[in-house]
Amino acid sequence: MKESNLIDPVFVLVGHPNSGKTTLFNELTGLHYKTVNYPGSTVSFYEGRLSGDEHGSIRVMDTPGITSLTSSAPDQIVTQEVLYTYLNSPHVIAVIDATQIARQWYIVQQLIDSGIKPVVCLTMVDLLKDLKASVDESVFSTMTSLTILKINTDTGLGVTELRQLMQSWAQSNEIKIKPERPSVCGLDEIQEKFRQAETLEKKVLKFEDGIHRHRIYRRDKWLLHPVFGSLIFAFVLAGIFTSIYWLAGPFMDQIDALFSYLIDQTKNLVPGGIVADILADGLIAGIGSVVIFLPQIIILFLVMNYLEDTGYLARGATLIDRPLQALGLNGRAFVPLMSGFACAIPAMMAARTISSYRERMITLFIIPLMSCSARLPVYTLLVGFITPPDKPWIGGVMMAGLYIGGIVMGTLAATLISRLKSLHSKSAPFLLELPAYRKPKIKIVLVSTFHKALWYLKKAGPVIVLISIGLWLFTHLPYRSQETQNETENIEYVSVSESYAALVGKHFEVLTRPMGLDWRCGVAIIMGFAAREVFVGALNLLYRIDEADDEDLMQAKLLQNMREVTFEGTSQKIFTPSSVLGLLFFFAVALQCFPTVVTFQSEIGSWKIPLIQLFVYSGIAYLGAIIIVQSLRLFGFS
Amino acid sequence: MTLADLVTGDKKRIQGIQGEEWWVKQFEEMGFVPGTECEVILRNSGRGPIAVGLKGAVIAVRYQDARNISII
Repeated sequence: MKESNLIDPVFVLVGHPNSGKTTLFNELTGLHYKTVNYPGSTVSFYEGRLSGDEHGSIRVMDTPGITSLTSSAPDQIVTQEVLYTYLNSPHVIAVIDATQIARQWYIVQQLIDSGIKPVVCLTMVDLLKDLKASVDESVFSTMTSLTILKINTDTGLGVTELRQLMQSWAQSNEIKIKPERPSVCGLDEIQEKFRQAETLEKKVLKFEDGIHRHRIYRRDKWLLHPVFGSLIFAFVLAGIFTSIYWLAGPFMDQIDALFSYLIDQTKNLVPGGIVADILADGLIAGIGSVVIFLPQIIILFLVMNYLEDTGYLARGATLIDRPLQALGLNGRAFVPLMSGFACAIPAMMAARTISSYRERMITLFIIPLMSCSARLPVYTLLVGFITPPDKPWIGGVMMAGLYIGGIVMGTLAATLISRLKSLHSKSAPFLLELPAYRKPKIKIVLVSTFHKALWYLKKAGPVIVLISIGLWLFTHLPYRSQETQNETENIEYVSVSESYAALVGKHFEVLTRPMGLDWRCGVAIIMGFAAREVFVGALNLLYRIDEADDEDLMQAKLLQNMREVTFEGTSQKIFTPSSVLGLLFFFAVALQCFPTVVTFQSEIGSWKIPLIQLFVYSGIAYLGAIIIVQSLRLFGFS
Repeated sequence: MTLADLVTGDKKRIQGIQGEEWWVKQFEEMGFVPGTECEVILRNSGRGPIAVGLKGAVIAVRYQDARNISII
């Protein structure tokens, strides 16, 4: 945060999930905002400036939806930290759904108790019409001595007044006292507060007689139906999967081509030597391995944001809650686990909405077992190796098996972890609001997706690039310049095969031997820790596949070579069906992705559990691969 | 009688919630306060979640949690 920002007046939007807070935030900032986080904290939120303000000095902040200011759920704590720790007496705008005043007023009461006098914005006034109800603001205002504004961003109702109010508040020189965190209420106190809120609501919210207050959605009968609802949900899931993999494919190919071009150009432009190589193969290739996943991540966020805005996502989470309960999880784990099939990094960030520590830990722990898209190129290659050309269906079955296998492993892991004593603690009740079905605002969905994608780049980017450069150095030092090489030798091959990594790989070949693999494959596995898909390129390099223009041809050549390579100095083949099966198991289970470990650490602020996760998964993967290879060979299956 | 015994369309008042204080608090802060009227919006057969209308909101509650909410 820049120092100058800190003296600018700031307005914080606070409200329940689905209260229309984010819509109002987008209206006030004119869709221009950024993701910020305070130094030394894992807390992140959105901040923009009040649009249409001539000085442009008024800051507006959006915070995660809350139901209480004393809750201990991770995303709810963010709001508390913003109000009571990071900001020095902020202005607060409480966003309250006009159809739910009695239920949401509790937050306003807590704000007042803590010494904050909020402006209250009543949203969803269009729904009031459907309910044939009306709110009397002047009575409301007199009863509470607060400013009450009805807001409808579609018609502009109340928005101008709110802007003017914010500007005049920002200019006033009234000295404010720093608010204190509200004390945790006992059950009696909560009941008393809700009774007061109910009395208040009775006076300000008037229903025409004989009107049902709760809208019954006919489609919920079907969408929440145990059989039909689950079928529809399965279709939606299949749709999300298809779009993650198929729609993103062409974009990923383009990005891949672009970065190959950039790498070539860099090598042409920068005079040869270590600098050019680090720039091209370390830095640019590293950036490429971050950017390549953007299409999938953008599509995932786009679909998820859209579904969330329609109100369907809450229905989906409700449906999947029962099966997830068996794993010690709840319906809220669904979005993070689903995201895990694209990339574990955004998936871990999505787990913040899970309120209980125990359930969040279990979710974070099993996310890396969901087959992320970086595993796909590796699976494609290895499954392609095993599949007989005349029986292509075997490949399909194996692919499905790998994905389902990941889910099964995740299920096992979750069941085991939920039995751990240290996690036996509180499992929070699952209470999820099913919001009214609404038409999503495409602009808001797009802007929000853009910010989430940007956040992924900012968070994951530097880590992946650093690891990529580090691993490049490890696999290319001591450095050999082109001149020292015999021209017929492939320089890349020589430098990798004589690098420190190769030295370590050869030294520890005793470790890769039981997996049925030689040191070269071991080095390729190490290189895959930057990002799993690097493994394929590393195999190309280490088993000396000559460059081919066509990628399919390259893959075919690699497969051809894999069928032929032998352990150095012997005629024993390295890649056999058994060793490849072992390798597939290894890739399905191993936490072969340092960026995920770093993300886990930054999400929970501790290294202990992420490192346990790294060693446990990689250990199981290694031992499992050995068991598979050795037992298959014991029974005479090569 | 508990919330889990109701069928779609039933409207009753919450009498109390059984459980440890931190657990009950989570329900109360969501609006499940004794004396509040709640309406079963959707209740499928079996032990699936129950959609409960509460002060203008519709909230999904697990079947086994609903058994801890007594109603009159």
